[in-house]
Formats: sequence, C-alpha cells, structure tokens
Amino acid sequence: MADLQAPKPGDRAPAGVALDAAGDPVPFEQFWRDGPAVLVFLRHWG
Amino acid sequence: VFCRYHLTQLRRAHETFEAKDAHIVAVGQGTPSDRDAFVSSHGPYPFPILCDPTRDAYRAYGLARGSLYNVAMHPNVIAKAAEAYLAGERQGRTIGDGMQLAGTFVISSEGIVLFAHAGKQSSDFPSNESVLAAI
Repeated sequence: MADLQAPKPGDRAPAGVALDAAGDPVPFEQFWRDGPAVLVFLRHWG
Repeated sequence: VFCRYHLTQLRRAHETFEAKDAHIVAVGQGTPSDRDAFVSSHGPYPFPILCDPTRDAYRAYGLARGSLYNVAMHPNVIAKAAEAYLAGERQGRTIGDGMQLAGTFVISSEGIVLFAHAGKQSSDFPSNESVLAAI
C-alpha cells in the first residue's frame, strides 16, 4: 500500500461506498450533494 | 483510543460544523455488527457512522497501513495517547486492521476536495479548527 496517493485539495473526490447500519451500500457522493461533507476515515474500532 | 478521541472531538463540534452547513460522516472498518457494537459502547453520534469491510474506500482515498513505529512507538503517538487518556478515553478491543491509518477530507458540494489530511501516525488527525477553516 506504499504507493497509495491521497487526493489533494483541488482534486475531484474519489468515488467510494461504505455500508450503513443496515448493511446497505451508501455512495459517498450523497453526503456532499447538499453542502460540504467532512469525510472521516477512522483507524479501526477500538 | 484515537478513533474514540477523534469522534469525541467531532461530536463536541458537530453543531459548529452544521452551522457551516457541513455534514460529518465517519467510516470505520469491519462489519455493520462491529460498527453497532462500537456505537453502543461509545456513541451515540449525531452523524452517520458507516463501515467499509473491504477497505476499498480507504485505498481509494490513499490511506495506507502504518509501520509498527508509526502506529505504536512514535513520540507523537505516545504523547497523544497520554492526552486522550487524561481526557477520559480508554482503549477498547481493536476490531479491524490495527495498522490502518486514518484520514480526514472535506469535499465541496461540487465534489472537489477542499481539505485533505492523511494520517502519518496512528495519533495523527487534524484539529477541528483546521478542518473548519477549509469550509
């Protein structure tokens, strides 16, 4: 994973999907449709 | 403990983010049941908490696994762990890859990255002030 590149300011946000509490996939785009989104990736649960 | 510490700080500032019409969403590893167990013990949160069992989204956002030094031994990690403990946070059972590093991104309503912070150590997450300044 050493060659991973995080997006920079000015880049288009990468597409992404995660699961909600019901286990349904949620595309990230829906979170910034109505205003800016703060997308926080946690390290792990713990 | 750093995921708990970061979420606590986001929870406290949630209304400040909302006042800027910004919506927080947090993503963790594991399954929905892992997520539910964590939220039951440390929540609730006034924003969505999702999970990414495959970590495909972590990779899409360039978030790497750290080295043992950067996850457990770096001086910044030790100092911030002490800070988190003094603030009342406690380490729970690790669920997921404990070497995964965190990241925070602000995305505009046009889908453009306004702010990007990819963690370099396990303790590395941005202050709410720096994130709010980008909105």
